[in-house]
Amino acid sequence: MNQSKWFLLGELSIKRDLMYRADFLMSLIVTPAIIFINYFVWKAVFSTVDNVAGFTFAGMMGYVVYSQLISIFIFNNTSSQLQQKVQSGDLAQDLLKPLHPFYSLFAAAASSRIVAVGLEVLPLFVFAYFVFHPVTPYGFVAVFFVISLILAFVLNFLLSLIVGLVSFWTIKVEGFQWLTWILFRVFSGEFFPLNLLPQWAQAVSHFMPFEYLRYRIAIMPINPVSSAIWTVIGQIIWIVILAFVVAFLWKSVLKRFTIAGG
Amino acid sequence: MGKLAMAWSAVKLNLAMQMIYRLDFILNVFVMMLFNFTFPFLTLLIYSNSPGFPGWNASQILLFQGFAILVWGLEQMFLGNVSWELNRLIREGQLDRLLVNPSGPLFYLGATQLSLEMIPQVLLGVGIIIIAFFKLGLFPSLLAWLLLLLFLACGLLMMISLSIIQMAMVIRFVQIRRIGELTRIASLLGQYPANIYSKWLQAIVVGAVPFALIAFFPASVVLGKLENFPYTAVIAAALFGVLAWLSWRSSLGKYTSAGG
Repeated sequence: MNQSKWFLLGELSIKRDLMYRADFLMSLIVTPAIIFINYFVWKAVFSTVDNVAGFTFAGMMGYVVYSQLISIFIFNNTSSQLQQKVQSGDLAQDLLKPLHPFYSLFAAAASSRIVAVGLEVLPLFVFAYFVFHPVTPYGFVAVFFVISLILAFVLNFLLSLIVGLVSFWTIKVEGFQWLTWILFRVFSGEFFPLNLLPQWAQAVSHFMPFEYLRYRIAIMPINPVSSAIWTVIGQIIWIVILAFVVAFLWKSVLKRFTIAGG
Repeated sequence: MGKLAMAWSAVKLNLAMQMIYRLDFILNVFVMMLFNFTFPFLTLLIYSNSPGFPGWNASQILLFQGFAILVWGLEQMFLGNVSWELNRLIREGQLDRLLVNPSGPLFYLGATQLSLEMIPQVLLGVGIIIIAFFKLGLFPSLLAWLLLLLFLACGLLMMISLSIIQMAMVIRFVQIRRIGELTRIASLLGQYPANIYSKWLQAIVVGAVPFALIAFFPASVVLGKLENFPYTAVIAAALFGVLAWLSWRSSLGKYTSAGG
């Protein structure tokens, strides 16, 4: 794909996103509100103990801050966009274009995160850094942290594509989207660190890709560099596996493709 | 046709429409219950990994969360879909059509957009409350039951009022799709004991914006821990009701079609 097309698609998406500046700015209120509620909850819990599931209070707050910021960084609404294209029949037009529909979806998702980094992630990190003093990654861990964030974005994009592709079979996919939304969040550690889960549930989560979306990245700053390396390796393996799943689903979709709307 | 008869017809029509996509409806119900169970689940995890919140045991915290899930479920059942539908109507410039509806746009939207998938969530809240009652061996007095109903009604009034204020803001400013998230997040404050918050935040939660009416006061009254009647909170909830009514009317008065 021509590089200029990527930039053009990205630019269009950024312009569209900037129309909803207020939505981005809402994060500057919503995310600190979530962090503050967690702060009071964990402060009460840690008032009688120094360690909960291997976390100190400072470590837990660092986890809460990073998991929230990672959520913003890896967000996309690819599955909804794909579903809309199926329902409206727009996908038929997209298939006639010289550009694969996945490229335009990826360009839209990536450029939207460029806006989000500027308007949400960086201001929120500065705020959280001064208020909650999370441990910041440094040296090699910092490098792996950034690489891991980008890989988590790609991983989340592939998972969203899979959810969106299911709409070819179900037409109406909101329920399935919400189900995956909640499962992704719980098993990726958005609401609580996975160390809190019973041993058997932690063992199950190791065989799923979700912990590579948030949990493993959020604990990177307080873990040794070897753990960061294994996280990146795990993410690459899952990206390869999910890319094959997407390719297989797409092939099946094209075989049975009938336009639902339009 | 009376307003109630019209509302009943709308509910039946709504149910028939939702039943067209049965699998999606069942999944929505399941997901809502799963999502709302996240907080009680976190409570159980906290208590299995630590002594938990000082002065409160796991069943007491579950009682808080049962009340919160019940109130959120009721509010979402009446207005959860209304907010989305209102956003859509404004974007597509179709709200004008509802303004001439004899039953009023809010009543019409409430009746046609009743979120039936929230009924199991309400039942989940009731289920958690019943389990907590049995585990704690609670037998509240008649006065405690009456106060409980009053607090829950005020909590529901406040949540509905905040939703209406949010919808009024959407009518005026259009491009603020995520304003509802803020209300939802802030209301999470209500599902934990107020004494875990700092003094200033406690003052807000039990007084100025009394999210404590959702769960803290209802749980306190049945646990026999309510020290004083929360006059400020009840008055604040009533004031939110008035503010919601005024802001809704004012926004409709100033509405100009955005789409078309």
